[in-house]
Amino acid sequence: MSFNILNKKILVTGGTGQVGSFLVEKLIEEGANIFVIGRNKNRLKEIKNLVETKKITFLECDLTKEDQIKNISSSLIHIDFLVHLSSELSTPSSNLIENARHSIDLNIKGVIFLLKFCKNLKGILYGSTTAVYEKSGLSLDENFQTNPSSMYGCGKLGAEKYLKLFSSVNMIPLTILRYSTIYGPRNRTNQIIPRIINQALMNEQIKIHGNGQTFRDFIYISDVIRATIKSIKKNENGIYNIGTGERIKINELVKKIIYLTNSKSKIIFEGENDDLGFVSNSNRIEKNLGFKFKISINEGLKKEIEWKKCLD
Amino acid sequence: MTGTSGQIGRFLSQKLFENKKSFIGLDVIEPENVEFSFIKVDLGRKIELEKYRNELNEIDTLIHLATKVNSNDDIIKNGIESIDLNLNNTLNLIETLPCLKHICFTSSYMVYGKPLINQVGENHSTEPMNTYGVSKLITEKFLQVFANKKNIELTILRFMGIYGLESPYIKQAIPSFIENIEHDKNPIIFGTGSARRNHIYIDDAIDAILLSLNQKNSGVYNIGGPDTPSNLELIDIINKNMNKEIEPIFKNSENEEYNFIVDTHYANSKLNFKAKIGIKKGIEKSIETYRKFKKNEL
Repeated sequence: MSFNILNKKILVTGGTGQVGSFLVEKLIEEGANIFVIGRNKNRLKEIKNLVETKKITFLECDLTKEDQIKNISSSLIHIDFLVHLSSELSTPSSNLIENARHSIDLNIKGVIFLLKFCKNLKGILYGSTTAVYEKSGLSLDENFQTNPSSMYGCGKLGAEKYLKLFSSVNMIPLTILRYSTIYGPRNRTNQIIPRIINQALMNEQIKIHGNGQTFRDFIYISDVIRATIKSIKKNENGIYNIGTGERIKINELVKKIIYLTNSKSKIIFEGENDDLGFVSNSNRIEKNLGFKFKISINEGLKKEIEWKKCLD
Repeated sequence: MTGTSGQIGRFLSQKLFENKKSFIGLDVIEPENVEFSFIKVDLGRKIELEKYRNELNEIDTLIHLATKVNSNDDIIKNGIESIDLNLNNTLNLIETLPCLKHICFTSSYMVYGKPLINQVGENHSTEPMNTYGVSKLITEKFLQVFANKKNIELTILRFMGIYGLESPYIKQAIPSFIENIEHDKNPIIFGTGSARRNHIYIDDAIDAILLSLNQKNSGVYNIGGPDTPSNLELIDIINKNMNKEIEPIFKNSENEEYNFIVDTHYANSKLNFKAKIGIKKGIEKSIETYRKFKKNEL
């Protein structure tokens, strides 16, 4: 069941974030009628101009508050397609249970409240994460057992499972995209790449937790957006890993950034590795959706560094 | 022990009491004969729970039975309730237990969804088909992260349907068949009645929990019975036991019928668990329990 974006009402949660803001721009280009949910109308960041020129409708709403969602229900009822990207903002607090509660409220409860009012949906795309897998040092495909090692991963997996139940009972196609670590412009988190770029640009000492030999799989934002748009158009049930499948060791990553920024930063490794590393196997999206990743890590890092320099 | 006044809780607290194990029971409903320390509290009320910090402070073992079963598949109606009662209540609870060393969490075969293969092993995919199954699965995952980071042993027991209870949910197959046949009414079978399950008798279920308390072995274990009767066979066994020949009535079922047999080899090798009560013996005992309970009710 393919989905024609033109003139359709698409709701994007987390629309002010990195993926959300780029996605919204792309969907407008394709002729969609975009609604964005965000917590604060004074913090629109990159989509500020789109809201002010009325190219998109901004709905101010905290997804953890059912009454606030109810207040915007008259807009929700006509939504054709839900892109649910909203997620935790930054690294969790040190209190495990607090993290868990936050993750449950935002990831699981938030989406259930939303679905209650979106009564005309023709499709759902959920932005999940490879954090639903155990970081076991293996290359993991979508059939691999889901054993999150963080409260964040548990909440994301919980939302996947409730959405799947909703999708199968109501016969609404659901695409789950399990994104690897996303990098590139507009990444304002304190994830590893933006953190190291900041420190490198300021020639500060770069502290790395562990020995730097653990690895990750990083995916550039424009590849993420292309994969997401392609999945929305396809609108079929499916779970896809979105990662390049390339193993990048943390110490290699830091060296690349130091080189690309001409930095004088020194690297300090401390403590033990938290995990055995993770890399995703993305054969399924290549095969089923004919999708190919384009941006190499060097090219992507250059672009994020340029963005960061312009921002400062 | 949470869920002390529930179906399994009553049997288990009796057993622990007999074995002279000291424990505190927690439930929102007061048990009938309190022969052990008991706290009446709603796990959903964190503030209320915190009033008992002193009593709970030194607890090192948690048997977490309290749950809300609801086989509804509508997340709009039941999703939030399933999260609050199964997941958030669990978080409230472990937050007030700072000295935990071992958690025994009773989960359900419903975390698996429809079996892709029988027997269903613990590594079978988990695609629950109701809100209860999802909430139990996700509670398992949150507990695993918590236990791992806090160095707590976590035993997760995924039970097959338990029978032989005192006041069973009459919607379940075995108690509804017993009730009908006892009153010379035709038992009702939804579908063809040919699908097989390895139902587990309550005494064996209690045994599994007790074994896990002794072994303190972290892991996820299926717990099921030794036999795999179909509903047709169950009716036959009940009829024979009561010396009757009452035919079932067949009704159309919206739900798909499939065999569901959990593989218990892992529990056998790691916990030394082996269900002892076969279906014939179990049904005989269930009928006795049913009659005793009915008599008390009158």
